[in-house]
Amino acid sequence: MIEAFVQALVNVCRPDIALGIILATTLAVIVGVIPAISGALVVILIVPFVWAFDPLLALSIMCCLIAVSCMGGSITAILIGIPGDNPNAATVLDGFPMTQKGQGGRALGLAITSNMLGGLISVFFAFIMIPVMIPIIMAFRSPELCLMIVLALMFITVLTKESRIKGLIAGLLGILLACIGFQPATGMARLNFGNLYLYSGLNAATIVLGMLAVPIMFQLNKTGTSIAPVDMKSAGKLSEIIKGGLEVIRYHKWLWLRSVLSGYIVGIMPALGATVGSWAAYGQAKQTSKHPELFGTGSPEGIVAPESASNACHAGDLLTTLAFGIPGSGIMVILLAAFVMLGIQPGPKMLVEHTALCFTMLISVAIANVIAGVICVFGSTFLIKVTRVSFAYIFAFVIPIIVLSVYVARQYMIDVYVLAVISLLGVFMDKWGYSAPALILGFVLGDQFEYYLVNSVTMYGPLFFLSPICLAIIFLVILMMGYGPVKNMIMARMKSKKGATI
Amino acid sequence: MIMNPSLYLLVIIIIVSMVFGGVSLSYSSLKMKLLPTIVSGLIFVLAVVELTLELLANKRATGKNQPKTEGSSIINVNEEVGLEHVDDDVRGDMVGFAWLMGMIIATYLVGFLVSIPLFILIYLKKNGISWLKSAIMAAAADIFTFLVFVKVLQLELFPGIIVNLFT
Repeated sequence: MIEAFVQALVNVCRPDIALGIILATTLAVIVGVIPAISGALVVILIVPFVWAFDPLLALSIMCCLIAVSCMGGSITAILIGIPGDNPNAATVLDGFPMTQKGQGGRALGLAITSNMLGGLISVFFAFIMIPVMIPIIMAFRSPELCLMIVLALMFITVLTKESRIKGLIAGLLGILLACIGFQPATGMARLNFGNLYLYSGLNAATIVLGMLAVPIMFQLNKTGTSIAPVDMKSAGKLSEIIKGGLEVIRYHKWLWLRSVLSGYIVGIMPALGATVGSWAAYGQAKQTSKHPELFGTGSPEGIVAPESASNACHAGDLLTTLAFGIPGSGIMVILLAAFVMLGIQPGPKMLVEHTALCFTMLISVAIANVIAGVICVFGSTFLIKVTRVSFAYIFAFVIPIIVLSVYVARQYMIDVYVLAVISLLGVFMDKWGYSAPALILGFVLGDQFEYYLVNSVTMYGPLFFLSPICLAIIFLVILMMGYGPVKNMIMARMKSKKGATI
Repeated sequence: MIMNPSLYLLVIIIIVSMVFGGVSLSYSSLKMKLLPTIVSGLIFVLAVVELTLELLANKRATGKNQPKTEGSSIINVNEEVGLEHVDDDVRGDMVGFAWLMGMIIATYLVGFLVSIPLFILIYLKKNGISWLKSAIMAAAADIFTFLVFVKVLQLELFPGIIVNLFT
């Protein structure tokens, strides 16, 4: 374990990785400031290029992009009242009123410090938890691993807005798409309908970009937002930002620690991302505050709580993804796709077989937080100018990047034509309540799922799922699927009873 | 009352699952057919359940003659504003899709090194950016693409069928 940690430290000192971390962090902060797009989009766009990088470098870059984009987003949330990224929405409630009162610099200091320290301490928590998790993971065999993938799909379907059935259909469609092409165990092609292109199966980059990146661009083209008028003086002086930062340590340290812990726990729980974490922390801060009436009018506590929780989520999120192959949030599905493209099998064995890589990713996140903090403190007045970028530039550059990315992944022009079909499917699936992340997860984990399923059936027979761990996982799956409908049914009955009494 | 196109997607999913399931069953090896058969079967069952639920919600709403209920797949024609919103929404997506298709067709015809600056130039100009700025951006993007992909990554970018005709 210590060897792996030392190896990870050596890795992050490599010039290419160090430079990659600095560049990725800077890019993530800049992109995070732009309200219409988030760090997630950059991560999606990077996926097709990962083959060109060393795995350590590619994954460190991706982790940095995921981890710090919400720090840039807090700048716009505070200064112009528009969250740069979804987790920053809670910060607007108190951050923007503080700016209106002329305390923009102080609010920025509170947000940046809480966010940066939250990210750092959560990485420390993740390091502590890894040795605890490894023995648990070692107890998992093919049947358990197979059911863990089912559980991962269930968690992602919970994110589906409309119907869980639709989410599940999307996930299963992803697995079915992964079945197209060569079957690794037999070496024979299947479900290709005689088409030569389908012999090698569909490309992960095409699915990821078509399902996620293109719909975001269409939305941007429709709404045409991202230009925000802003008063440059609202960012305040550097001394005010630093004073605000010190305020977190002096007056709000316990609130900060509580929020970090709650954010980290939310992050560990699959399918609950940083947005849920920041709102949960905001809620608990209001409930435990001595002055709850000040929330929404410019309370510093209303900034410290969501900002520290939102960044603390990422380390927990990453740990769940690495340890169990269950994506902690939608963006982690993309990270899993990158693993597959780099030839690294995501899932429970990852933490055992690639411990140094996991540590490198966590250390990269910690370093990225420090760099992002420095950039935000010293560059907030410059960063706010980025919000003036017209949506036209983003669309004009990102669409060619998407098309080019799909092409370079395998250098098949047919992949580009397939992108058009997948994009259309992605747009309508999103519109009609089917989860795109669930489909991608199914596609990414499809091969592994088949491997474990075939192994389980051949080794333990059709009743392979009767071990205690398997039964516990099945119980969780049933709980996941049944909780929402049962709760709705009980609520409806209670309502009808109340109506009858009245 | 009109039907939401979401129902048609469900019908397509049912057909796809039947086709994939049928083809999977024809394989002799258990390893080949195990997963696709199970997955196709599950998709079929779930899609039928979802379709039934949506049709029932549709019928219930028609009977009561009330506006659209949450999660159902019908749109009441009386909700003119809502319908217009749905139309605008789809139209907006179609405009975006048209741009994407334009980029893909241009790439097919003239290759990446011409289609990328062309797309950037036309899109920026169409959205109110001056000719000069648009041209500078387009040229910069082209130089960047050439340097990174052709020179550094040593990739052979698709040259387009028109160029292929002359070479």
